[in-house]
Amino acid sequence: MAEKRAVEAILVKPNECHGCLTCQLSCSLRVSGRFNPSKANIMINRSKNGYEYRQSFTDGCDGCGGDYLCVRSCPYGALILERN
Amino acid sequence: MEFKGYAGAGLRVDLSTGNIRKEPLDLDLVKRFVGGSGFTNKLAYDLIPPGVEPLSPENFVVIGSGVLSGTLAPGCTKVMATTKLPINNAIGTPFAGGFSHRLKYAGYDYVIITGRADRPVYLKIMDDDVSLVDASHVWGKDIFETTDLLRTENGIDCSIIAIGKAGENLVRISLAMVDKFGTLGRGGLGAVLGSKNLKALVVNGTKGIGIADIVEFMKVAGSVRERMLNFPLRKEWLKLGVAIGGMIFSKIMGTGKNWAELSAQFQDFPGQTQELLKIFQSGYACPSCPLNCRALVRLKDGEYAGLAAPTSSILHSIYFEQNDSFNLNQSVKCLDLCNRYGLDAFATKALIDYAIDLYQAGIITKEDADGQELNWDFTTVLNLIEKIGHREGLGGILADGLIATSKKFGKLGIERVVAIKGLNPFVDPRAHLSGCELSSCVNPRGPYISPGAAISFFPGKTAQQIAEYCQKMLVPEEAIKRICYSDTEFNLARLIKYEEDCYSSYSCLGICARGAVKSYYNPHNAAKLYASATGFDITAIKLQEAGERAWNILKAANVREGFARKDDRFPDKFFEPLKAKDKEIRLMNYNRSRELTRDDVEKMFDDYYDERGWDIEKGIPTNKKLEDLDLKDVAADLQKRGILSQ
Repeated sequence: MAEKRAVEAILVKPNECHGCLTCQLSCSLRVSGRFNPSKANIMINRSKNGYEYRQSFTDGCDGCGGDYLCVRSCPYGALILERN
Repeated sequence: MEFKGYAGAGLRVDLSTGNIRKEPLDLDLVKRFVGGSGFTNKLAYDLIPPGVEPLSPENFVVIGSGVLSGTLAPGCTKVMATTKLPINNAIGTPFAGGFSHRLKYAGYDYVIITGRADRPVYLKIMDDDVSLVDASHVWGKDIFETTDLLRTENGIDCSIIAIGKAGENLVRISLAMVDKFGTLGRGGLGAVLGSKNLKALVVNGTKGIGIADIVEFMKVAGSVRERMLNFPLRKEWLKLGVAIGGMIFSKIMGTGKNWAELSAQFQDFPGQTQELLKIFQSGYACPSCPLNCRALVRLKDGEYAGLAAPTSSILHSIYFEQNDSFNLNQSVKCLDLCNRYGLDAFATKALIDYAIDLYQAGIITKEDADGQELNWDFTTVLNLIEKIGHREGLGGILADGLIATSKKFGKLGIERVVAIKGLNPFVDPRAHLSGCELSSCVNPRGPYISPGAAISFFPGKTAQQIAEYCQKMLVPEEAIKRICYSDTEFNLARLIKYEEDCYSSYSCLGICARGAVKSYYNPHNAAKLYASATGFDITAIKLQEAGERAWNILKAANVREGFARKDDRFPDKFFEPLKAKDKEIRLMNYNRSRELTRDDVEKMFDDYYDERGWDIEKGIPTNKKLEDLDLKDVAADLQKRGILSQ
């Protein structure tokens, strides 16, 4: 079931997430200049058994000033831009 | 110095003393061996004492990460573990996806492990905080339970390599699994870790990876990614993974009943594909990969309904089916049990087939089989998986592998065993000579499908297509003339040398071995990614040469252990006809224009060693080849030991 998350414009579809971390890598490169998921403003939380993923955003997320790198980089359609 | 692309350090762990030491990355190691399996092969050569017993504390395990792991280079997440393998005493390198990215985020390009802990432990790596932690609460638990528990204790994001009961019980066909999906298999890595009382490695990190030229790196990585996203069969691939190549697998992997006949389940592959789609639950990607190939399968109804099984490929779900009396649910159950115990499913299936064959032929008696009949059915297979995992009864014999088992049952047992360097072949060449089987024979560690699985994996390629492929892969012009020697035929054995070198260079970088991923790479874009990530200029030719160097040092490590041409032997069985529905299939050349004899195959090996620049008679690297590859130190070592002349 699709649901809206912290950043209003990004529609998150958790069931489409394949856990590739591409969104985190793209985000962290912009935020910190390095590939470093721990610095990303999008968080991918695994379920205990590792079979499900939940996405959330830190307060630091500014939508890349309109670039939405996480949305643009997701190869599996788990993040979709919804313009209001 | 500060490295880009690399984490910039290695870790040494002595389990006997508990000593843990961080060391800076050596520039000579970087310049000559690039990274990944280049590092692990070189370090293994330097560290593993020749002749060491694989399950002794003195053996080493070197776990490495590809240079591009942890970045946005698509599909580059290989982790590798080089060790002396207990199945055959070869030094080899199992590969899997995952773990490597977190290892680099923690600040390490490799981890060297030796010794034996005095109690079960796991190695916890959290940035600079590295420790050995008591693992008594997970010892005896299966791989999935262990992974879930250690994730709960150490953070849900951490990556875990774990062994199961088979590794703890020193089963020589045991493996280790990465995050429940990846398999570090073929040869007994699980037992090596088990012998060290090392239940698991747990890693996470916050340091990240710097890139030398971000603009260039993202340009090249983005180009590879865009082409992957436009893979024409991507939609099917995301569910079926390598099973989309079902018709090919039905030819080369479909032999059952101890290599006697084509198995029923592989004869109807389109039908099987529909069955696989019914049990597909969801797909899982390695970090950075737009072409996920791992799947969680869930049995929705019937026997074992509700069972959810992670697989490194959904194709493996059908692997245990023997015949009409063996259904898909039962096959998934067998696969799941192997994974939970940490048994290599392919080696286990081959061992069980062999045992049933011996029983049916009257060579193994009911008494040998602990009072049970061994038939080609689910009950027998499930029972033997349990026994091998626990080393119980007949399982205790099988747990030492095909060769050890064959010797227990005398001349008749030895005659029926099908093995290369002590391990079951991965593929059968009789329905299609793909190159994988030749490559499996000459592989220093024993049969392994990936290095030879490239263009010739698919039947029907023309000499012209092979020549164009060779040009793309930077095979020298004079070599292309040797490979494509006529308009209609090509020399498969000579081609394999270049496939292996390419595979080896990709393994230094961490590029996945799956055909659908690696086909989007070539020596040019791979070299550009390496150079832009690290800031170290490298040409595509030099990258290929580094791959060849890494391959040769692994070979040299095995030559030092006594391996030579005598061990690169095509099993006799492959010269016998393979029974299919209404015909018999015989070993033929790639074009299937003529039948092959033992002499023909030996001539192919001659060509392979010649193309490698090795001693044809002995099947080992020469002084000149090693010196040309800047491996003078290795040549000197082999001379000192009397293996090469001075």
